[in-house]
Amino acid sequence: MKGMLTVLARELTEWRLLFLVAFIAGLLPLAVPWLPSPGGLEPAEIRDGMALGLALVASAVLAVVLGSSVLARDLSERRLGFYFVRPLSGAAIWAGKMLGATILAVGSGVLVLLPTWLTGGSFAPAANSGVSAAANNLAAALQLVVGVLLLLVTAHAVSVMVRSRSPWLVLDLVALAVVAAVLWSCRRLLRSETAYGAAEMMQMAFAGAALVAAAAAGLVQVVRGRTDLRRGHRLLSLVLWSSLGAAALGGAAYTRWVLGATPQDLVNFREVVPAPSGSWIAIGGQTARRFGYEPAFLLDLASGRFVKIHGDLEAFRLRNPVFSQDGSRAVWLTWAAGEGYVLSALDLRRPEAVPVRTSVSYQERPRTFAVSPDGSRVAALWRDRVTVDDLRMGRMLVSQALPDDLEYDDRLRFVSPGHLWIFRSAETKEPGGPPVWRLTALDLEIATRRITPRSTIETTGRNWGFKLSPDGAHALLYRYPDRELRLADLRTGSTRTLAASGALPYELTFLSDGRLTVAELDKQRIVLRLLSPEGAHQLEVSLPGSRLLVGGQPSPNLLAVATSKAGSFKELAAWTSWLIDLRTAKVRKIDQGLLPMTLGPREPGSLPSRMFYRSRGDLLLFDPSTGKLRTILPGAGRSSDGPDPRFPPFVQITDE
Amino acid sequence: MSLIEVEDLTVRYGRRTALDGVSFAVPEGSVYALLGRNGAGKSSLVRCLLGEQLPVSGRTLLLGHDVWRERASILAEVGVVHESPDAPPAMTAIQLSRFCSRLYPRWDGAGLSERLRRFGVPENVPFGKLSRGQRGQVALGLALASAPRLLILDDPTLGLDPVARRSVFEELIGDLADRGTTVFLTSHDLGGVEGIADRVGILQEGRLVLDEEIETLKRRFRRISFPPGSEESPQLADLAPVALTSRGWRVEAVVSGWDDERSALPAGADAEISALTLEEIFLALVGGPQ
Repeated sequence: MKGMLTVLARELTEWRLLFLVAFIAGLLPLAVPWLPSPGGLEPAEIRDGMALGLALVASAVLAVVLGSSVLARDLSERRLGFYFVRPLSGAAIWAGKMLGATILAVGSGVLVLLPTWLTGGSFAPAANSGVSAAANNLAAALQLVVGVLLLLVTAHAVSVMVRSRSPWLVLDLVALAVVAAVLWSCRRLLRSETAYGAAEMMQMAFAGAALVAAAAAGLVQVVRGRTDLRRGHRLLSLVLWSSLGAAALGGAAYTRWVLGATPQDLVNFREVVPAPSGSWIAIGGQTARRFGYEPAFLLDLASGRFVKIHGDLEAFRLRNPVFSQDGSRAVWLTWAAGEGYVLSALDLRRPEAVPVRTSVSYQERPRTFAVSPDGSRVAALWRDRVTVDDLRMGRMLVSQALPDDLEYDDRLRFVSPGHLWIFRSAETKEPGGPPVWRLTALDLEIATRRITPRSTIETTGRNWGFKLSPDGAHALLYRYPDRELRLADLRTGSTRTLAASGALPYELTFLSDGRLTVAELDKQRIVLRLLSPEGAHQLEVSLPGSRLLVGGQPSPNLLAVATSKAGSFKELAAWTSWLIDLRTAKVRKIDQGLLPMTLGPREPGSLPSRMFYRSRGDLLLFDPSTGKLRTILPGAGRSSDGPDPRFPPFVQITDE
Repeated sequence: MSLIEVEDLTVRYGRRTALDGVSFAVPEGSVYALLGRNGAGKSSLVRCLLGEQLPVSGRTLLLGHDVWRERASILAEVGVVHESPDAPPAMTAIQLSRFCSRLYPRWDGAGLSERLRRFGVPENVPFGKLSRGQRGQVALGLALASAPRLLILDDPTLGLDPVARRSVFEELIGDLADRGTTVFLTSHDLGGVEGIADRVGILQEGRLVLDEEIETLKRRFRRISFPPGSEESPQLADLAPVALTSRGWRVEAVVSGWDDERSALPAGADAEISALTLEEIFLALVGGPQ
């Protein structure tokens, strides 16, 4: 320590003039109030900004200059021997000189700021929410010191490499290229899957590793290489590149680990879409210890087989995987530079099947998307046309332009393998007239590529929306805040006004057989009415609460619903799930903190109709025969509970 | 006790062998001079002695300790003057003295000042602005001010004029007489070395070809002069000379195994015997083309 302090004192003495120069440079911003100020900026802001800029530049430049000279120049000019013939350890020489350079670089920056600070200047960084000003300032100061240190040790390493004029410089350049390539690839991979947090963490960790590696390399170079510059260079390069190589490999392993997340790694399920039949689900959510990485998977709950379909939930939401009605096929879009949106598909029935990139691609993201019931055909609306592709034959069957360019809310539905119905709604307004909302059903005959209008429903007023029945024959038309509700027959274009309803859209639900439920709020109770496909009253039940969600049918005569007093999807604990017997109107409570899957009509008894969320994030399956729930995917509480032992192990399906 | 023990030291730079199995010892209180032509390996040996160079094999003990491993603690008792005396160019002798005083337990700053005054070296002039000779004096002064048990001098008179060279050696002789410091030095100034060294080692192409007390060395080396044309005579061949020089008027042979009491010239030989200086012995041993 005494030796290090002696060297440190010597360094500070030798370069002490820098402090004076820095202080004088710090007086320059004080002249700003006397200079003409550029548009709109307060002189004080300019002064503070100028002082801060000067301080940062001074610190950075000094870090580079001192880093490249305090040891490396002494070595190359054979002056380091002066220290090495004294009772000074190599570590003391290195630490004294490096600490001196750090104090000079940081201290000069502080001295540049001093005059401005003394005259009322402020350099507080932009506040981060939830962090105290003191902690914020400390973090900024720490970043400055770490930045100076990084520049210092890097400049030293580069200076030694260049000054030694050894052939090892070639190895340095090759190693630099390799490490940079590995890091760039890792960063690119992580960012391509929108694992931005993980990419940032990797970069920060690598910067930290680079700082430690360069410092350790410099230390070893001085301690073991001593006054031999070439030997020092060899040692420095060995330590530096083996450390950085290990760090780069660590980065690659981390990237692989992050992107290799399985459904088992999901700690909550932000998106779950079960197939209409079968045991496959599409699922996405946050992963553990991956800094916000939210991948999405197709997962077979029966076999544990899974395939990652998206690296981020945003893609999941925008390009939802679509299942065929028979549950035999899932298709999804992936974006590829130069190709646009490419359709991938997985045959869900064959255990040996792997995801296939089909020949179907779209230059723009389709507005809507549908798969035929047997999964053989895919229809999409994009730009101004509708296209239908046959996945088995790998060829486009239809590409038809659609009339006019209104901002349509379009839906597609295969009513049979040969017919695609296109539902288009739009609001128009003639000058002087009231707004008109129009819903048009078009029938596309795939074989002839002919589009035939089936029906058009027109109504006045704003804010109309619609829900389609499973077979596309009916639609519920609703509007707020007027709370109008109509049932439309899309085959004929006729409409029928239903009893005045206070229902919200998610409280209007078609069941799989075409019946529908309408909920109304009556003081602190919810009245749920079951109507026939034609709108005739069948059943009525009363439930406690002020909000309602309608789930699936765990069996043909049971309907799962959930109520809450002031709940939301984010507060699952506030919800209570119930089972309604559709024959007797009897209501049975399942549990609190439980929410049924709400995905629109699904086959009674099918997997999605029996799925529930637990408030802590678990995904559960209800068995109507026993009335019991079992965890099929544990959520955030998994660390204590672990997965259900009856659940099969996860097996990743390798892409082709 | 030996303050320097060098055991089977080998140093290589790539494929070139700078030192090849060198071994010797320097007893406490003695003055050991290592001689050799340029490139013989002297600097590599000094670097090993100072713990700046890691040999590929062998080891170097200073004051009984491995100098590579314990360099910093050993050097508290060792004074060093490098081949090119160097120090941070902005530091004056006073600053250098102050710097060193924090590192050595027995620092004699007053003695250093007095010595520099005696040699007319200004104390307030930055080291970088001093003449070559003044720098050498400062470096020697710094080395002696630590009251070292061992002094390592790597060609301390290199580049000095004859007067300065003489003053360095005189200074050393005076100081050594006072303190009994052990000295290891390398030098090309064989005349100066001869006056102070007890023992001498000669390095040739990385090998230590001679390691002997200087008096013994001088006793066993003799120059024997023969008349011209004696080069092929059997009498000369019987002496097994280490060097043979034909100067036109005489043929001179240098013999290395002479013993004044036992050796004698061949009967009837027309020859003269004379003693050799250290420089002449050195030239006879390593003076051939390099």
